[in-house]
Amino acid sequence: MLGPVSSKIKSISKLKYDEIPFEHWGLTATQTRRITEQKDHSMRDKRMTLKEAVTRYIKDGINLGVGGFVNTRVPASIIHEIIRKGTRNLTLSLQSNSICLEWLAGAMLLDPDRVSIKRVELAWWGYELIGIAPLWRYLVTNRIVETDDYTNYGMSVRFKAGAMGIPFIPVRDHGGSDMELVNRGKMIECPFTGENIYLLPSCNPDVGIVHTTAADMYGNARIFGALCTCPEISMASAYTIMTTEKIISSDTIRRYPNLTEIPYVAVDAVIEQPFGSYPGACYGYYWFDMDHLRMFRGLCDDFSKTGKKDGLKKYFDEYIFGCETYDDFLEKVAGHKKLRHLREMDGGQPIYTM
Amino acid sequence: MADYKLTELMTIRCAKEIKDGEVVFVGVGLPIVVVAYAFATHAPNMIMFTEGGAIRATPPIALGITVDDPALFTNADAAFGMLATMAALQRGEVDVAFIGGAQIDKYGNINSSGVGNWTQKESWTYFAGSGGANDMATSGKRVLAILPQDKKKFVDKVDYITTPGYLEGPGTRERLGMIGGGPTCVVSTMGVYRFNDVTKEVYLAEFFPGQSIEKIKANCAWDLQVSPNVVETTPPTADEVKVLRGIDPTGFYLG
Repeated sequence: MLGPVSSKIKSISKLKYDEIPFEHWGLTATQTRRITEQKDHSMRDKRMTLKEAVTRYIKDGINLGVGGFVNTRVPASIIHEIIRKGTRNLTLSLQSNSICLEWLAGAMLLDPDRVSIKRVELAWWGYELIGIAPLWRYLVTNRIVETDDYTNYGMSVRFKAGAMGIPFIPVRDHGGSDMELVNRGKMIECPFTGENIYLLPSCNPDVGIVHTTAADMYGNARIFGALCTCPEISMASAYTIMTTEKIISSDTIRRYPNLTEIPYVAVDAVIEQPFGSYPGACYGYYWFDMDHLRMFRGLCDDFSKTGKKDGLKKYFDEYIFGCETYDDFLEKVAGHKKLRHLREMDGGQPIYTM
Repeated sequence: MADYKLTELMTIRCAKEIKDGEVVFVGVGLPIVVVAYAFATHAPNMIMFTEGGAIRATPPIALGITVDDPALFTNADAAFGMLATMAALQRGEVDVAFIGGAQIDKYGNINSSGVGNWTQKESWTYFAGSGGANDMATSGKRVLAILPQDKKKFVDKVDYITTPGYLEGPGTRERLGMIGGGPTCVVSTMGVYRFNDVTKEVYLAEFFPGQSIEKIKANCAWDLQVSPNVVETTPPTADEVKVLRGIDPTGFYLG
């Protein structure tokens, strides 16, 4: 039996950190397999409304796998609906994300009985060049959420392991950093080469949420631009809700099978939602709404500096609770001219939905 | 002498570390401008892999604002996801990995996660999370870092090791199984640093125009080693500055 090997990080690090016994923050790969085995795998029309999908799959206490990357192809419309439905004690699993998480955090700070986040396993939470995420900083500093720190590749391969149905995956990195001390991975000696290698547990969310470029009614999906680990998140999750810019026919999908990035079996709900990643970008369709991202970030920043919730509350009342659907939100917040402008700003190459 | 900003000097100096024909791995921010500049000048055959998963992304027109910006996925050889380009790092296809940071120590260990004490969260301020810096700097063949310098940033021990450099010195990376070569060059707001092959300690190789060795030492928490051949960095020419400003005409990155 192989014991964990010491990489001496404890003697190098400034941190005095005691190891916490390992605990899964969601399903194991095996538990996920058992759920998957029980599902109906036949070709079924999985189209439904966002409301139906969120009511069916989003429960209190689940591990929610959030697709997209930072501001790109993020499942914003699904998060919007989740906040309106309300859900508590969430564990969030993600690579890197921005507005989706800040929306959830804002909802929690306004009314923790409606939305609450218990813990977050992640690589990064921020807006990149637009700035740091004020609510994330607030949640951590005030010990409101528990966190587990990985690298971008680390979270990607954790989903990959989940998607492969295996309990862990070895990586070359993390070792020698403080992540080795604080996260739930382990350094071991490779049984074959004798090299030190870092093992990461698989990540299997209860529900994965992704937005795709185009999909058929069964859930076969195309993704243009960055894949953002969305295929892996869909396959690693016990259930997957997918919004897509455009529903296309099964015949179209079958004409170019190489373009399918997510297979239908990994998907449980399909919702056509144009501008489903707004105010994030969706390759080939529209660019970021920098103004909106900055405006909302500004409200969050005000709250974190002053503790006053008025601005945030007004935003949520108007743009989230004051909307029945994401289309309502888009009409209210952006309008035709703005959306048209964002389409013109998109720098993506042509996408194929024929 | 050309009129230039500090960020422009840093960018142009840093770009000179990239050799033509190399595969360079970048996230976002100033490194992307460095790469675009290298591509536009002395390294037209360099290849950019992006953290988001683009293979041979096109730098000059691709000043994306985020790692997965659609602009970084047009006119590339392949548009994959992060799993693909990060795996390329692990299998050794990346010559230069390029990272930023907030704190560094004398062995090139870098903190880009947050400041304070991670174990006492009320004192811990996350920047965002650990992101991709560790992946790049663990597995890249060589690592370039660009970061601001003062006594709180060039520290005895970083608050959080996001990205190990040489850890405790010679041999530590190898003992750990870290596959890449480690940091080779650091460009700060005050000068350029390299690493001693034997001791693995960082030393000052160049100081920027307007700086002095004394001033630089005063902005470093440890007893900084200085190369006996230390020189002043050649300031950028008017032509170099012109090319750079053409890459970032609005000053979005360069200020």
